[in-house]
Amino acid sequence: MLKKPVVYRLFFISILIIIWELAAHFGPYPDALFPSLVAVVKRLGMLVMEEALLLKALNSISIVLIGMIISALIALTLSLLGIYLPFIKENTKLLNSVASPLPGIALLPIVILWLGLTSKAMMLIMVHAMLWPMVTTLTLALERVHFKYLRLIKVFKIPFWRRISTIYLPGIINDVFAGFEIAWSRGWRTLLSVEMIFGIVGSHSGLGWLIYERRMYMDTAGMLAGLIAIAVCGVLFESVLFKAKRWEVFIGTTDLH
Amino acid sequence: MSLVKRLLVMGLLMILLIAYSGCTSEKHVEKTKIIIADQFGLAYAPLEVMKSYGLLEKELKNANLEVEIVWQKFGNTSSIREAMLSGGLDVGFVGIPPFLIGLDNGMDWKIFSGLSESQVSLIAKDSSIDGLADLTSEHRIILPQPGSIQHILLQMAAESQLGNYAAFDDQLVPLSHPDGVIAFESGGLEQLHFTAPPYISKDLNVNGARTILEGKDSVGEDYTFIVGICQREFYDQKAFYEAFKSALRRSIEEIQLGSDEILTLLSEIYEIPKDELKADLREKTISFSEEVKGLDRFSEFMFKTGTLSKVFTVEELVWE
Repeated sequence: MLKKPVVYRLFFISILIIIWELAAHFGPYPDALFPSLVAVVKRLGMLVMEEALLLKALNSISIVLIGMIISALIALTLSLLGIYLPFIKENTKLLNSVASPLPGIALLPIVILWLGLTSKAMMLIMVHAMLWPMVTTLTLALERVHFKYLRLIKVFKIPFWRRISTIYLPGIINDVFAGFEIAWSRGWRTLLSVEMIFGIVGSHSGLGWLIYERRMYMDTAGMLAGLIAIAVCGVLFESVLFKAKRWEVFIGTTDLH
Repeated sequence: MSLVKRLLVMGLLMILLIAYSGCTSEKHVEKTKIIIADQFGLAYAPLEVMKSYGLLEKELKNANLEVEIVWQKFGNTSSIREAMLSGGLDVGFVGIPPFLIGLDNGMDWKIFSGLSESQVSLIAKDSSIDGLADLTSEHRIILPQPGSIQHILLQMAAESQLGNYAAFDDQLVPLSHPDGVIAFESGGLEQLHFTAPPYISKDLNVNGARTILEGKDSVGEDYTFIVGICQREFYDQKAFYEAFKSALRRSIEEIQLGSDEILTLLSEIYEIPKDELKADLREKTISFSEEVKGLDRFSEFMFKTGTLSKVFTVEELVWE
């Protein structure tokens, strides 16, 4: 037997599908505004087969991941240094409070002026989008771990590198994944909007560009198919990959808490 | 509540929803405003004249019609298409290819008038480039959007010169003309800009910039750059339709006469020197006419490349 929540969800989804289909077939809307689901699913199949939708999705994902690794390294360095150097700590805080509320897409025009329509510009915006949430989470986590083990560190005179490898890193690993999760969702949304509005990724291979291009050819079914692909990627990453609980099992660091 | 009851309620709600949406579309609404959309560039100059001289207001008044006139400027054609489709626009001015794409996808719209013929040029800064054959995969071509007239002109040239219409389709950078100028000025040598007046002369001011392709050479014949389109709904409101058409005709005539006042007006709006504008009009770099040319050429080419599903006849393309 299926569990109740699953039944509820399936029921809700089928209701939505029925409403959509009825509106598409009997509603007053032209196909170009409201294509039937059959057309959308067909188009999705065609896009996967003919226009390498999967490759486009992989491309978008890899840009976000590269940006995330760069941001994670910068964030980790800044927050580790911040523990011992008040100058860095204060100014990281200052930068964070100034830059964090700026959406990546708002920076795009000025970044284009400085760096042109290059992949460097793209990466700068991605790093901007993902760096600040990571800095926030990591700084808080490191401060917490630092004060918790402050006396232990002083009493046992643990050397710097050992402190990092045996206390700080294991202590913050869960927060790192939480930071990754927030960074991913910010980065993913930024990437898609940048791709859609400016289409500046050199090879035009992202999902945002796909939707943009389908729009230019008035292919509404193709646009909806692109949206489905984006939603699927989003769900996969946000609810599967970056759930910290799943990683604890592998890393086994929960004993610290 | 049992599952059956819930399903019943849902079903009822659905029926209500669909019945409601059916009602709203059939309700007759009295026309209270005319919404007109154009884009960036000198090719839309008659509309600026119409706006500044109040020519449409005069025509509407002569016909005893009282409506508000709303002007909107869009950065690309697909937004015009979408606005029209969702009922937010009466009259739009676009290039022939995006109009054809809309028609092919079921839009009930046709051309009611030509507007302009214009020089359209692909401009490069890289001194190693003399033609399309010299472009590498590193080069980027800035143009308003995929499927725009600039894109189709590029495809036509790519086919005749390199035998592959899609040669540069992965190297497009979609930007509106004004944004394109900024990107072209500040960007690297790898950037090219496919644009129209007055943006051509702005681009050519950049160090080393020169034209490597002209639209006319791609098409191989004269063609209309921008056409006026409207949906059946507006066409059927004959009084409004006729008023707009005659206001447009008068605006085009005003520019053709080329009085000093008109030149001053346009040179202020487009921020180009009056002499340059005068020379453009004299040398027919840009010209204005209601006549529509080149429809067959675009329709056949876009069918051949698979952008359109069929070749359209003139009756299917023009209102009368």
